[in-house]
Amino acid sequence: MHFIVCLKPVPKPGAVKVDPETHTLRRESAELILNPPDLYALEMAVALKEKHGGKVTALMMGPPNAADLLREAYALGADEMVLLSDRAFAGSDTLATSYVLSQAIRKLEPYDLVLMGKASIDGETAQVGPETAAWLKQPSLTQVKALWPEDGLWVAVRFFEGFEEEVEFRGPAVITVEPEVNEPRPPSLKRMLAVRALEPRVLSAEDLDCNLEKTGLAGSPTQVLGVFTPSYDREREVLTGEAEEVVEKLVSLLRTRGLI
Amino acid sequence: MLDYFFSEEERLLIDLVNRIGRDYIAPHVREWDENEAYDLRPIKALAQADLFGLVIPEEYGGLGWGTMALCLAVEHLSKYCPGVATTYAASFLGAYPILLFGSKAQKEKYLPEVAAGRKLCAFALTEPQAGSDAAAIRTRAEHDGEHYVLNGIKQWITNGGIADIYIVIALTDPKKGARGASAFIVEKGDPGFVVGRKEKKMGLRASVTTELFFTHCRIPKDRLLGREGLGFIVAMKTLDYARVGVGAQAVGLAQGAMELALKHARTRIQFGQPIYNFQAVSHTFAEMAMRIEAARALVYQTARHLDSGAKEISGPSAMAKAFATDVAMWVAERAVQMMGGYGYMRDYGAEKFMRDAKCLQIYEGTNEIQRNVIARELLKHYRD
Amino acid sequence: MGGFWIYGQWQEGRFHPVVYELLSVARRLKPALKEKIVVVVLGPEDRREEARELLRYGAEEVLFFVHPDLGYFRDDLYSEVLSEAVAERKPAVFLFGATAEGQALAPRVAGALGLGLTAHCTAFEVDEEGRLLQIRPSFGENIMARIVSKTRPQMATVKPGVFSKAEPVDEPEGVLEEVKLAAVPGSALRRRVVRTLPRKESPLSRARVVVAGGRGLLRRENFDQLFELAELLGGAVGATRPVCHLGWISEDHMIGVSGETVSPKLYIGFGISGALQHTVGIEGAEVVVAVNSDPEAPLMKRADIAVVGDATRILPLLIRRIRELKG
Repeated sequence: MHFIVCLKPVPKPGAVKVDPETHTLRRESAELILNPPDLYALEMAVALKEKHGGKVTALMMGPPNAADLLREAYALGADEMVLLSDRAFAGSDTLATSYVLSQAIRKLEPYDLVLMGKASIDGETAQVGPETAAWLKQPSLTQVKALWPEDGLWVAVRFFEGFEEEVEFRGPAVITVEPEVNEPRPPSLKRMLAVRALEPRVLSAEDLDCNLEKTGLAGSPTQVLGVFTPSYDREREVLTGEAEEVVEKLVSLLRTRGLI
Repeated sequence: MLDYFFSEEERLLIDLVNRIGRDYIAPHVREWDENEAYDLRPIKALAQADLFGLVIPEEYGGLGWGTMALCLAVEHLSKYCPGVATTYAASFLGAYPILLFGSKAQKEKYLPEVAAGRKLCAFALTEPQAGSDAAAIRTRAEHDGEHYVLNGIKQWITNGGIADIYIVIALTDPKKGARGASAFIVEKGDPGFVVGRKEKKMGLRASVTTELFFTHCRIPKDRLLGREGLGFIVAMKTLDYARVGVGAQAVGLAQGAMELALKHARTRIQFGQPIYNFQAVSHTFAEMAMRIEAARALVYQTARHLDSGAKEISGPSAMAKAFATDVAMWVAERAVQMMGGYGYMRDYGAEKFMRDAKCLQIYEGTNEIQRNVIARELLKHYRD
Repeated sequence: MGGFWIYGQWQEGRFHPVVYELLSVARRLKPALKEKIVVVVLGPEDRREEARELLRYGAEEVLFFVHPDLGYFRDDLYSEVLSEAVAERKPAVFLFGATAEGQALAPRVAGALGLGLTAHCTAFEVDEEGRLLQIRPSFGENIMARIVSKTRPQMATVKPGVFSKAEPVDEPEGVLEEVKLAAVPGSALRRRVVRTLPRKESPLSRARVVVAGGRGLLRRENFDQLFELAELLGGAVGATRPVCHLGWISEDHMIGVSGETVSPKLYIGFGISGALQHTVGIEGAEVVVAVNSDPEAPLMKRADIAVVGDATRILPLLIRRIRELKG
């Protein structure tokens, strides 16, 4: 079986800079990490591979320096590394991103499933999975908790608010994996050693036969007009002093207001 | 502070172990200690990271690295939880006899399972009446056709019950005393082999220690390691290799305790300033740092000495073990003192290091016995 | 043509509360946008009366697509029916609740039609050109972003619990338009079982008191003390996203953009700097107390009571003091 796991490079929390011109993230300025929710998708794919055989392809759209994150994915159990890197991809919103991913996924045929994390910790949209499925005209299942093959079909358990459903479907399909549904493994030392001699395959917009009107800023229908800092006009009490002292003040304030 | 000129591979290993420590161990340390609970999760993580294969040759699925690598792994694990490090290191204590003395068939059968972390090992020498005086063991192994039959009790066996492979030292010829001992591989599930109750310990509470009972335990003849009469050679050689690992555990423990106390001393404000500003405090840390670095240098150099294939290893291993574990106990006690009330409360981690450190001075040969070994080796070395 | 569309999500045979919240958004924007408020509902015909109920809450039209196969949510099937409806009727705006279903469905429609989509909006404005400005917290920094879409309909998902629910109107004027579909596309999905999940033990969204912690608590052990305080105050424990990712607590307790929205009488944040990702979730709190050693932290700036001090020390002291008071 062939599992494709889409991984996103995200700035390490606390290290984000926003471009004052375009109001998009300046990724080059921050240290990049693998988007933590994606690790659950990778673990699910690697566990499926171990149980049922096959291979896992780690697929990432990002700057050239994101290659090391693909090596990390290799150490975590991926077998192939594919980096989609091109200036033409810069500034892509979720629609343009999912278009590029779908073009790459087509190049990686045949495959059984595409897996992604539920959302990224920077954009937090949770949109790229279903949008990619729409480009591919394939089924999508979000917030999946468990997944297994059964009589030529796949069975997934997925979360909704207050209930979960067990659903069967025929692949290929795009799955987004709910965080915390498995325990992502640590990197394997043997794989860390082996990957030093490997290079990810790098594919450009041209390699993917991308229509450049659909990538990058040109292909992104959403546009950030501006950013602002919300203001709060509240009466404020500031308590300072020794810890014991401020606790006493706080408790009496809360008591006068009938809050405790 | 010192640069030990690690290779690129050693650096990778150190980073990996620290990642496991941060992600899979640190969040649960207090819970394991409070509940005296063994948790499979960090062991599974170590297995997935290939760390049970560090010293196992590549042909058996390991990495084929040496004692130095194992020491680095044990040291860095111990910064987070010396108890988890005990489970990990004790498995190597049980694997070394197979590695050093096993036949090709025995290696092929057991080592790939060990390297993959699918099976843990244990080493069983100590008995109720035979601690430091190991030659006083009474467990018997008698011939019975194509089998040996074991009878006896082993005590304080790390990984008892959680291990699948046990190296058991038993007497095949009691008349010959120590020369009449042999080493056997006993598997979990062998008839007549029962694991006793789990001991309640002062420290290292994330690890498991039990008694082992052998009652007409029948094992096939091919479970003998080496040949009959080699039991104590197997045991002593294994301990020579493993003791430097206890030294590494001590270095990591001391480092963890110092870092914890240092964080406290730099942020704890008394008399209007961080207590680190007071010389009684900062000098204590200077002393900790000196001793830890000396212990680390001795442990690393001993490990490299072992890896060089040197013959004379008993003395250096004993020195590394005794010196580093004494340092660990001293540092952990000082760390508690530097943290004052916070040091003594169970919520803050310092007293746990102190409880853990105590065992390191006792197990795998008390530090008194280590000094006997060093003194004996000294005479050999300066014969004329 | 045109219209302010709202996705009418079902939940156990009724409408999800977020549908009423979206109706209040639509009604508030009506004077500026002047678009007809339409709730789009999919289902079998026996749901007609429930669908008609939405008219009482200010829907000017309920567009009810009827087919026996629309009995439960299936991503591919629902998105195809909606995409076709959008392509044909060309609404100006289409909003979805940012529920599990809404988040699964809206991007499929956007992807199929090549439309822009903004996730988790917390506010809307209309500019002089009549464009819908979609506002959401941005990139974990302390900023909000105003986003517009170049495509029509302008699509967004809206965080449940942020907006109040629409009040009933005195005289409903809308109509139910029932569209009987002769055939619907096949679905690749087949539901086998549905299991109701046990209610979470800490219903954060309804808690009267929320005590929350951030990275400033330094260690999981310190964070765990929040449970003691929550128990003393009869409240629930909340957390920031980094703390959840550190593994100190499960994501059920996360407050903010991708977590819960809370509206307690009292919120106390320990060691929380106050990134918007978190604070959008506490907009509804009546009294906000922040405990932080940095008086300049954003949460301290917006708190009603800002306690300057080490959260790891104040927390146990506060627990002890309240315990004394309670005897």
